[in-house]
Parts: sequence; C-alpha cells; structure tokens
Amino acid sequence: MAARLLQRSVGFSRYLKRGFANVNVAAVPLTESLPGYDELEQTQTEVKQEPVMVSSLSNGVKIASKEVPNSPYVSLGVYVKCGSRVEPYHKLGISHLLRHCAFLSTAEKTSYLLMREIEHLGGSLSCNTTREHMVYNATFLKGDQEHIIASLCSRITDPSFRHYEVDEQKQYLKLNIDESSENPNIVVNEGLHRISFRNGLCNSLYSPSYNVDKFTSEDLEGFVRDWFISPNVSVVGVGIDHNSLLKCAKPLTNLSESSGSAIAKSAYVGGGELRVDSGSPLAHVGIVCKGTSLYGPSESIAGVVQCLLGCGQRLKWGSGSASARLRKAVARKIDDKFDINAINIRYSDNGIFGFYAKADGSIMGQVLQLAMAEFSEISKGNVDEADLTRAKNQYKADLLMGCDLLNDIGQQVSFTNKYTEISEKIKEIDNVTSQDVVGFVKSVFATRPNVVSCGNLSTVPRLDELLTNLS
Amino acid sequence: MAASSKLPVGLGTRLLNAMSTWYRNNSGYRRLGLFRDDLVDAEYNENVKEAVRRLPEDVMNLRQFRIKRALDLSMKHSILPRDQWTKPEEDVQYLTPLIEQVTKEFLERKAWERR
Repeated sequence: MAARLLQRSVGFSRYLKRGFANVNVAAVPLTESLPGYDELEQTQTEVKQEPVMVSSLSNGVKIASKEVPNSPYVSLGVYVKCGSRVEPYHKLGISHLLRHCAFLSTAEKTSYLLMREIEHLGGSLSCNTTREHMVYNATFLKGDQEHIIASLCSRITDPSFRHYEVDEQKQYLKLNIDESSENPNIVVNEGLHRISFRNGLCNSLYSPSYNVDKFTSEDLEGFVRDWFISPNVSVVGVGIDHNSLLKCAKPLTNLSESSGSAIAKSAYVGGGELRVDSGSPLAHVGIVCKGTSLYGPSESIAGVVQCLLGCGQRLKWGSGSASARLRKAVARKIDDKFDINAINIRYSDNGIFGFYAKADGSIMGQVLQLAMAEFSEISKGNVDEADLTRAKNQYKADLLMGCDLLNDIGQQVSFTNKYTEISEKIKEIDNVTSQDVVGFVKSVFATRPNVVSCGNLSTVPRLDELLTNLS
Repeated sequence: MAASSKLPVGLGTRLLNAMSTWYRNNSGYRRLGLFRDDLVDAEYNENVKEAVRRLPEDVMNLRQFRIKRALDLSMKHSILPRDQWTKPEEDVQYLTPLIEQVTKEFLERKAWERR
C-alpha cells in the first residue's frame, strides 16, 4: 500500500509525461499498480552529468559553467584575483572596505533600486573576500539571468563609490572589525597568517582600525582600477548553460586588458610566536608548519593526513570523535573537556598545516605536549592501515558531500584555467599510502613551527619549551 | 563666422538673458561673496538637506565660509570690496545637480514604496 502511495506521489509526473495521461488514475484502486508503471520504472535511464565547460571572452575573461539539468536555480560567482594579499602596505584593509562597498549605487542604478529589484526577483547577492579573491555571488531563479548578471557585471566594470555612501559603510566596517577582535578563532587564524608568511598572505582579511577613517573613495577606485582587469576575472555559473552565460557576461568585455602587476609569491617563515592574553578562562592555540599549496603534488596527501588527525565531528553534539588521532592521544591522558582539530590551509602558492586546540587554560600546556607527541609518532611511521582507510573515506566523503561546487570551479579556473573533476581527485586519494602520509608529516615537521595563542595563557608553553620537551 | 554657424538666437531669448544677467548682478548676493546655490536653504527642504550632506568636504567648507561671511557682512550693513565680489564665471551650480539627483532618488523610492 505504502509503495503504491509513493508511486502516485514520486513517479507521478514522469508517469503522466510518458504518455499515460489518458489513464484515469482515480479509477485505479490504491491496492493495484498503475498500468504500465512497472515497465516505466525499469526503462528509467541514469541522470546524465553535464561536464564543466571553460572558455573565455575576447579580452581574456574566463567563463566556466556547468549545466545542471532540471535545476530550478542558478548560482553565479564572479572571481576577481586580488583579495587582501595584494593590498599595498599603506592601504592595508582596503579589500575589506571594498567588500562592504560592493553593492553601492552606480551611475545607472542606485543601491536602493538594486536591493528592491533583487528582493522582487527573490534572488540574493553577496560579496566575499578571501586572501586571494574578491568573489561576487548571485543566486537566483532560472530565467532572471540576463537581468541579474548584467547588474552584477556593472559592479565589476564601472563601480562607483560616492563618498557619503562609503562613509556610511565605514560604520559597519568598524563593527565588523570590533567583532573580529573579540573572536579568538579569528585572532588565532589571522595571527597564524601574520607570522607564517613573509608578505602578501600575511595581510589580514580584516582592516586595521587605524586605516578605516583614512580610506577615501579614490583609494577604492584605485584598487579596482589596478586589479579588476580582464586577466584577473573569471565568471562561474552552476545551473546555467554555457552559451547563455557567455551572452550574459558580454559587458565584461569592457574590462581593461592590461596585464597589471604580478602577485608576489608568499614565502613561509617559521619560528614565530604570538601571544594574546584575554580575560577568557579558555585558551585557543594554533600551531602550524609549512603545508602544501592548492593543486600541489601533495594536496591529496595533506587532506588525508588532516582527516587522519581529525577535523570536525562526525556525530554532532556527541562526545567528540572516537578515531581522530589527535583527540584520541589527548583523551588517553586528560579527562577534562577539550577540542582539537587539524588545520590545512592552502593557497595558490603556499599553505600551512598544523592543529588548533581549545581547552581550559589550566590544562592547555598538557594538551599541546600530547598533540605534538602524536605528530611525531606519525612521523616515526606509526600509521595504522585501517585508520588510513577511515581517513580516506572521510576525506572523499567531505569532498563529495560538502564540496561547494561553485567555489571549487571558481578557484580552479581562476588559478589553473581548467577544471579537473572531483572523480580525478578521488582516484588520487585512493592511491595515498601510509608511506606518503609519513613522508608528508616528516616534511611538515622539518620546517620550524609557528605558534599563536589567545585567552588564558597560564600554562601555554613558549615555542622553545614545546620543541625541547618533544625531543 | 563662428556666430553664423550657431543657431540664430531670437530677440526674446537675448533680451531674457540680458535681463537675467542684470538681475543677478543687482540682486546683491554676489556683492556678499555668495554663489547662487548658497541661497538654497537646507533648513526647510528634505531634498536640499540630503543634497548638502552629499557635498564633498572641501566644497561644503567653502559654502559654510561664504554663508558665514555673508551673515557677518549683513549684520554690519556692509558689502565686500568690489574686487572680492563673486565673478559671474565663479558662480557655478555646485548644488543643483545633487538636488536633482536626490529628488530623482526620492521619487524612485516613493514609487517602490507605494506598490
């Protein structure tokens, strides 16, 4: 009975489309199958996956799209290679302000009109900054593409920054900066970047507060002029076919073709330490060494090692994880509550790898020593095969389930001009051996670590103490 | 030559232009060092208030200075020395385009909010 009900609800539209529209469905009792339905079930073909198409406009703007058949909506991202890493020293934080000023009035459309239009259509617009990109995102229903992509393109080709609108945004910027300085996660993460990279990537995503009032509309215009040039821009659409994206993105042919300045590589620097005391009873500590870059040869290995050590919980609100190595190693000796995860942060030219721990200030010292010891256990070759399989499964599942397809395509196309399907990556992961893991951890350990701590630092050891206790 | 290539200007228009120049020169505000757009009062009109807020800082400061100087002169029942009077070419409409912009934006907003 239940199966019949399901039949009527789930497969019904398909049933009607396949030429059974003349059957009087109501006359067939629920206890009987619909005529011809079972054959239809058997002839059902597999859903075909559309490939990712990559091409470019006449001035070199990259266009990538993946059509998703039957998807009712489109996600679109315009990726501009700039972000906080390209900020000049005296304009640190300008990309943070630019993010806040992404949807101000332009010559042809006020910000109010933009807001009303997007609300009317039911879509959404957002702008994000990373260290390497400014990303303008739009999500909207199929059919609205021409209108919305055109208004997004005008943000890129001729943005305007009216000084009174920029001044209003500065108030929100200040709020955002204040919030970030109270968040230990952000303090540690920004601190790790600050001391781990010699230039570029060391710049914070958050503007320093002393710069906010100095920024002018001309600064924003200058930044856009320097970096919003055709070789830096990629447009990515998911749920839209390639030709219509090419057509809608036409306004971007107005972008200047100048080659612009090259983005300087960021070298890793080890041996740094940053301690930020606060009144909190908790301590947050991040310890990292040199990791891998995006699309580098050991990227898959790094991902597997991260899962091996533990990242995130598989069972929410439970008692943590039973198999993550870092957590297991610490829990053997400590009863108190703590949280520890491996971190694996990658950029186009460099990256950092390590772990992030949260615990009461009184036990943090012990947690760190145990975690470091576990790291060195792995570098000595102590890797269980079953554990490795578990880590590989987790990493593969993370890629397939949690992967933000739009962002994946955007980053790949922006940096490498092509797209490699996730299935290729899955093969790479399957080929990771325990020797690879040990080799990677050894190479990570060969560089000097950086430590950033925030909160109650009463027991948090200095870097030299951590290293001497280890050896 | 140049004049002949222009559209012929009617006597009426020319008369009107001459009248307006004469009127402006004699209405007195230029003798107090003011510009025509300084006379648009921000106190009683929302559009003008918003337009004044949108002035760049340096333009705003000069406007405030001219108004203060004019108030001071008017209190003392005097005018500026002739060489400091506002010259016709200085008397640009720095506020009018902004008032037009604001008026347009307010109308747009009103139209959406009536729906």
